[in-house]
Amino acid sequence: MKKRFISIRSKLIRNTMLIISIIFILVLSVITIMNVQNADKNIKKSEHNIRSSLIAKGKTLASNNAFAMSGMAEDYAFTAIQDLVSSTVKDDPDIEYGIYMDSNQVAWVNASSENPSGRVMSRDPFTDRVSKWAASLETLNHQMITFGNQEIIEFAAPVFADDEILGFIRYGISTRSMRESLEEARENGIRTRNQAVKILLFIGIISLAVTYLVIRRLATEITRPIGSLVQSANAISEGNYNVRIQSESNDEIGNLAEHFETMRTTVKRYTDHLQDLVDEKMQQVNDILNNIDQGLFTLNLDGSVNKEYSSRANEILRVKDIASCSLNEILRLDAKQENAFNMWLNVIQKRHNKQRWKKLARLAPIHELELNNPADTDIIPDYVSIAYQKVYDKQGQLSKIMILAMDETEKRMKELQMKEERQKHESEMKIILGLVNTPPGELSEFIEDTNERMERVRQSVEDHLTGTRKQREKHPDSPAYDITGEEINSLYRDIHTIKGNSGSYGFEMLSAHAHNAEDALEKLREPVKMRRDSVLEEMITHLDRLNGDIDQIHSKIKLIFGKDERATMRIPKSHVQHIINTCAAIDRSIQSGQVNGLIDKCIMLSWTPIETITRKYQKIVGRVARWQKKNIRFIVKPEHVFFPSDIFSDIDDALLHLIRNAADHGIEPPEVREELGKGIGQVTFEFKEEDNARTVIVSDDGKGIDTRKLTEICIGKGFITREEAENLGEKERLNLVFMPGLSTSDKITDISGRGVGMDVVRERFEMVGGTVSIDSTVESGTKITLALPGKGDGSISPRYSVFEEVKDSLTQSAVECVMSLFDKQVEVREPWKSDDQLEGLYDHVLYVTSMNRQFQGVTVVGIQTDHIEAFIDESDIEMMIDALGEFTNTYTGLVMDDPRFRDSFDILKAFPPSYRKDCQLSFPRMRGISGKLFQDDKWIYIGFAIRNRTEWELTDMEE
Amino acid sequence: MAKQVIIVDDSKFLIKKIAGFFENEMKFEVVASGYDGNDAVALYREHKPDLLTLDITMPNKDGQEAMREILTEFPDASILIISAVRGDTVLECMNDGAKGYIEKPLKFGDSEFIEDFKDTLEEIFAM
Repeated sequence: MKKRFISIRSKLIRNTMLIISIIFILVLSVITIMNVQNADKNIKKSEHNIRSSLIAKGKTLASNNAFAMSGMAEDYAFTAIQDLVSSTVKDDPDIEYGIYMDSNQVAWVNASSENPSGRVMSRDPFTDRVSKWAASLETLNHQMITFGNQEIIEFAAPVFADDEILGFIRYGISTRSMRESLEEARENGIRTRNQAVKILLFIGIISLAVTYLVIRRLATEITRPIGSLVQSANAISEGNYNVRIQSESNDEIGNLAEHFETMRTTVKRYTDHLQDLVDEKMQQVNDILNNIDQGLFTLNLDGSVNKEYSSRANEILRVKDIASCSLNEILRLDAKQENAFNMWLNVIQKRHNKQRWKKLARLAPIHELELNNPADTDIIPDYVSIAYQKVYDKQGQLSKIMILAMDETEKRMKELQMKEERQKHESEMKIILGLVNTPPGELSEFIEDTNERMERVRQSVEDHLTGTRKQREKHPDSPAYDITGEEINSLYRDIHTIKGNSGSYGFEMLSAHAHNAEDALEKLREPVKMRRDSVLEEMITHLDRLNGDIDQIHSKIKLIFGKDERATMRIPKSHVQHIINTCAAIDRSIQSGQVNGLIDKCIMLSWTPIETITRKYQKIVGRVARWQKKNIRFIVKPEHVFFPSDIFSDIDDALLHLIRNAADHGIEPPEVREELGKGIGQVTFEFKEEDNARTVIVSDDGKGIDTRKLTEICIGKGFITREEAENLGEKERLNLVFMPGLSTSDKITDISGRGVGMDVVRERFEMVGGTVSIDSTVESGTKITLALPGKGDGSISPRYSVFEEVKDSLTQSAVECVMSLFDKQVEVREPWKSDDQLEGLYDHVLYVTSMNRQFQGVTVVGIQTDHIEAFIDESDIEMMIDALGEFTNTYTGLVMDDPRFRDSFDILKAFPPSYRKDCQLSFPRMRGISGKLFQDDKWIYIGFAIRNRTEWELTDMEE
Repeated sequence: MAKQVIIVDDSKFLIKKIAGFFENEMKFEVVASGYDGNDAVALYREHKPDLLTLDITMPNKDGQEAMREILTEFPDASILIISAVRGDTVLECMNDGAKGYIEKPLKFGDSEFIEDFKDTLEEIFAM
C-alpha cells in the first residue's frame, strides 16, 4: 500500500503543537489541584478558630453567669435571674437557649427565641439526658449536642453559694453562624479558583496561537529548500537533468542541495555521454539496416510489425514502408494463410524452448513469395525467399521474430537457365540414346520420312504465305486467304506423324516442337476475316525450329557414327539371304563343308539385339509413364545379347499386356513411391533361352497384388464363395487374377483398357504350350514367370554376346572382309590410319562404330592383347582419345556424365563414384575383356582391351 | 525399462521400416502397429504407450482426426506425426498438440535424417 504523503512542515507543526498542549494541560492541572488543597486547609483552620472562640465565649458566659447568679439564687431572686438569662439570649443571636435549673433540675428560666421572657410554667424537673449531664457537673463544662437538625454546643456550670450547689446555669450556643461563614469562605475559594483557571486557559490559548504562528513560519523556512530539492529530484527522475538546483539555505539542507547539484551535473554529463553512445550505436545499427543487402524486419509475437527494418526490405518486398504495413500486406497473406500464420505464432510461443527452431521455422506457412508486378505481367516475377529467426530479449524470453527476405530472382533465373541447359543436354542425350537404340535401317527410314514430310509441309506453308502476300498486294481489302480444310488436314497428318515417330525414337525436343506446330496449325482452321499471313509466319518459325531439331539429330548421328546417317550399316535382309544362298551354293559346289560356319554367321547377322526386340515394350512403358506422369525404368536382362527378331512374335500381344499392366497397375504414382522411399519404378524384362525352352520373367517393384482385396472382389463378383475363399492358400489366391472378367483396378485408364484381362494372357501363353506362374508381395512388387517352348526349328544356337561379337571381329581386315561380302556400300572406318600421332598403335586398335548401339552410347575402342601395356599408359590413351576425337569429330568411349546413365550403364556400377585414375575394369559377364576408366570435366571414357582374341573364322577362309 | 511405441501407418512396408528404426536404433519396444485412424485410437486406449507415431493420410479415419480423439481422451499422449503431407496440416497437428513431426520420405540411410529423428524423440521425451 502506498503511504499517505504528509509534509515535514505539517508534521513539525503538529508535533510541536501537541507537546505544548500537553505541557499546558499538565501545568493547569497542577495549579488547580494545589489551589483546591489550599482552600480546604484554610477552611478547616477557620472552622477550628471559630469553634474555639465560640467555646471560649460560651465558657466565659456560663462562668460569668454562674458567679453572678450565686447571690441571686441564694436570694431566690427569680426575676433577676430570669432577666439576666432572657436578656443574654435576646442580645446574642448565636445563643439558642438559656436555662437556669435548681439542684432538683427544675427550671427557673428557660429562654429561647420562641420564649424570649424565659418564664417557666411547669414545675417539673428536667429528665433528659443533657439535663442529667448538666446536673452532674461540679465545674463548668461543655458538650456537643444535636438539637433538631442543628449542631449546638451546650455550656453548663453549677451555681455555688458557699460551696453548696444551688442550681445550674446552661446556655446552648448554635454553630450555624459559624457554618454560614465557613460556607461563604468555601464559595469564595471556588470562585477565585475558577477565575484563575479561566485566566490560565485564556493565556494558554493565546500562547498556543502565538506558538503555532511562530512554528509554522519556522517550519516553512526549514522545509522550503527541501521542497525545491524534491522538485528538482522529480525533474531528474523524469529524465530532465537540466533543472539547476539552487542552494537557498545555510544549513544542512543547503549542503545537501549543493551536493545534489554536483550529483546532477555529474549524472547529466554521464547521461549526455550515454545518449551520445546510444545515438552512435543506433546510427551504426541504422547504417547496417540501411545498407544491408537483405530484407530484414522484425515481428512481434502478436503478429504486429516493428518499426526497425532494413531499407532493402522495402525494395525486396515491394512495399513503400514496411513499418506502416501489416504482416498480411507484406507477405501477401490471404485469409487462410493469415490464419495459418497466427497458428504458427501460437505454436512457436508454446514450443520455442522445447523444440529446435529449425523444425518450428519449417512449419511457417510462407517460405517463398512470388511477387508479380500487376502492371507488367510479362516481366518475370521476383522470387523472394522468406526465412525466420528467433530473437530473445534480455530476460532470455522469445520476444520477436526476425524475418529475412532475400531476393532469389537471379538465383532462380540461373536455375532456370541451368534447367534449360540440362534439358538441352538431356534432349541431346535422348537423341543419342534414340540413335543408338534404333537399328540404323529404321533410323534412316525415319530420317528420310521426316525430311520428306518436312519438305512437303514447308513447301505448302511457304506457298500459302506467298499466296497470302500476293493477294494482299493485289487486293489490299479482300478477305482472308483461304486454305482448305483438306490441305490443313494433310499438313496436320504430316506434322503429327513427325511428332509421333520422333517421340517413339526418343527425340523428345523434336516431338515437343512438332506438338507446338500442331497447335499453331489449329489456328489456320479458325474462321478469320483477314489474311492468315501471321499464322503462316508463325508456322514457318515452328518449322524452322523443327528443322533445327532435325539438324541436331543429324549432328548427333555424325557424332556417333562418324559421318552422316548414310554411313550407318544397313544390311537388308535380302542381302543376308543372298549371302546365305551364295554360300550354300559355294558350299555345294566345292563340297568342302567349310562354308557352313559362314552360313551360320550370316544367319546371325540378321539377328537383333534384345534391346531392339523389346523396344516396343519399352515404348509402352514410356507411354504409360508419360500418361500417368510416373517415372518408370524399363530394364532388359541380360543386355547386349542377340536373338532372332521374331523370338517373341507368337506371344507379342500377351507380353505387351503384361508389361503394360506392370507399368500401369503395378508401379505406384511418384508421390506414393516417394513416401515409401522406393525411388524410380522398375519394370524388368528377363529372358533366357536354354535347351530349346524360353523363360520370360516380367517383374515390377510396384505395389504388388493385395490378395485380401483380390479375394474380396472375386467374392463380390460371385466367382467364388466365401467358404471357398477361406480354404485358399496364398498362391491360390494370387491365381485368382486369372479369373475371366476380373479387373482389380477400379479405374479404367486409356492405357490398360479393359479389353484383355489376365485370363486372356494366360490363354495366349497356354496356346503356344507355355505356363504362367505369378508371385507377388504387397508393396514389393509382382513377378510373372512364363515358361515357353523354344521358337522355330531349334537350330538357333549358340548366342553371341556383343563382346563375343566384338572379340570375334577384332581385326580390321576381318571386318573389311565381312563388309566386302556385303554390298560395298558400307565403308569401314579406319580414321586413325593417317594420323601420325597414333603411329605404332593403329595396327592394334580397332574402332568399331557399328557396335555403338549395343553399348548404349559407348563407342568401343578395342586394343590388341599384345599392346595392352601401351593401353595402360595413360598418356597413350589420352593421345589416342585426342587423336580420335579430333580426327573423327566424335568422342571415343563416351558416356555422358549423368547419374541416370551411370545407373543404367551396367559396367559403371562396379566403380566408386569418384574416379580413380588407376581404376582397372573387369567385366564378369564379358570374359576376356579388360578396360580402363578415365574422365575429364564432361565425359567419362572407357577403353577396352581384348585379352583373349580368337581368330575370326573368315580369316581361315581367306587362307 | 524400454519405452513403448505404437506405429500407425497405412503402409505395412513403412511400419516395418519405422519399427526397425525404433527397435534397433532407439531400443524402444514396438508394442503394436495399426493401419488407420481407428486402429490408432483403439491401440492407444489398449496400451497407453509412451509414444504413438501417426501418419496423416490414412483410410477410414485420418491421422489428424485420430490425434484429436486421442488427445481429448488422453491429454498427455505423446504423438509424433510421420507424414508426407506438407504445409498447414502438419502445422494444425502441432497446434492441436502433436509433440513433433517427421517428414516422409523416411531416409533411414541418411545420417542427417536419423539425427533429426533422434533429436525429435529427445525433444518429445524432454517435454
